[in-house]
Amino acid sequence: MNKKMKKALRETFEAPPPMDKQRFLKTLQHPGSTYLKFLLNQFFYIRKRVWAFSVVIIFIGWAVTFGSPVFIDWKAEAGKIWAVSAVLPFLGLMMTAEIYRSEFYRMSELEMSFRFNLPQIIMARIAILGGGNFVILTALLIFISRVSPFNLLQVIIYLMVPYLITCGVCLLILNRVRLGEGMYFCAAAACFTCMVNIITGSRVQLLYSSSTLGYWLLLFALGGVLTAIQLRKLIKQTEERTWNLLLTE
Amino acid sequence: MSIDIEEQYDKIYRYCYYKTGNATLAEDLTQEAFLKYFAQNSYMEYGKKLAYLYTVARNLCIDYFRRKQPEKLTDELQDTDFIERLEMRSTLRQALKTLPEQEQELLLFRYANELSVGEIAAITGLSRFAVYRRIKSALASLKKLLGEENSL
Repeated sequence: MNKKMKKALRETFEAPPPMDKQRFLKTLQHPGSTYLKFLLNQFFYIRKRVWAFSVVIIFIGWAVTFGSPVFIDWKAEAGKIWAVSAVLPFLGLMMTAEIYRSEFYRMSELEMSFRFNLPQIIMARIAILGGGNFVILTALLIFISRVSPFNLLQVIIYLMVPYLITCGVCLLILNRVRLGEGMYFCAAAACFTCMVNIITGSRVQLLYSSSTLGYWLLLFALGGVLTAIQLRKLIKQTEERTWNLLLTE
Repeated sequence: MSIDIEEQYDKIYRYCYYKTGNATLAEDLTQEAFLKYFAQNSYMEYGKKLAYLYTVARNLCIDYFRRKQPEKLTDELQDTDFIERLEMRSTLRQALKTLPEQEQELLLFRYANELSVGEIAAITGLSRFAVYRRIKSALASLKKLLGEENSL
C-alpha cells in the first residue's frame, strides 16, 4: 500500500479538533503508579551482576562453613568467620557502586524528570539493595552460627564490622570526592578492609577472643553510625550534587 | 497509566466521531469513556488497557444510539456541520462507506489511529491473521471501487 493511499485514508477519518480536550485532561483525576510498583520497577534497574555476586558470596559462605570438617579446633572455626568476613567488604562496595550508578553514568537528569525524584529513587534502590544484603547476611549468619563455637551476637558483629565499615567509608568517599575518581577510592577502601582481614588472619585467635569483643562492638557501632550519617548526607546532597554535575560537565 | 492519555484522547475521539458523526457528541463520549476507564482499576495495572479503553468507547457509542429516540423531521436542519461534512466527503469517503462497517473500523484502527495488528486483534476479538486478512481485503475492495470511480 503506497504512502499516498495511507495519507488519504488517515485524512478521511480525520475528525474536527476537539474543543474541550485540555480542560478535561487538566481536571481528569487518574491514579498514578503505586509506590510498591515503583519499588518493583526499581528492582529491575539493579544490575544482574549485583545479584550474581550476592549468590557467589552465599555460595562462598556455604562452602567455607560446610565444605571443611566441623569443629576440628577453635582456630579453624574462627578462620571460617574470618574468611567470610573478608569477602563482605566487596558486597558493601557493590552496594555503594550501585547506589551511585545513576550519577556515575550521568543519568540523573532523566531520573529527575520522572514523577519520583532522585532522592526517592536512590532511597528505593538502597531499600532494595539493603534488603538483598540483609538476606545474604542472614544466610551467612545461619550457615556460620550452625558450626561456630561463638554465640550469635559475636558472629553478627564479626561479620558485620567489615561490611559496615566498607559501606560507611565508600559512602564517605563518594560524598566528598568526584564520582569518577571516587569509585576507584571505594574499590581501594574495600580492598584495604579485605587486606586488613587477611593480614590479621594469622592472629585469628587473638582477633576473635572474648577480650577484644569490646573493640569489635565499638567498631560495629562506629561502622553503623558512619553508614547512617553518610546515607543521610547522600540523600540530602543528591539534588545539589546533581545540579553541580550538570552545570560543570 | 502506561498509555499516553493525550494521544489516546485524540484517537478515541476520532473513533467516537467516526461512530457518531457529531463532534460535540464524540467529545462527550470520549470523556465519558476516560472517566469510566479510570473509575475502575482492574485493567489499569494488568490486562489489555488499550483494548479495554476502545471497548468502553464502543459500548458508549452503541448505548447512545440505543437511547436515542428517532427524531422527527422538521424544516430546520439541526446538525448543519454534519450535513456539510457529508457534502464535502471525497471520493475516498464515499468509497469507504460502501465497505462493511467492520472493515471501515479496521481501516480506522490501522491507518488513522495507527494501532498494531495485535492491538486491533485485542480490541475486535479477531485473530491477528483474520485482522490482517480483512484489512487486506478491505483495501483491495477500496482500490477496486476507486478504480471504478475513476473510470466513470
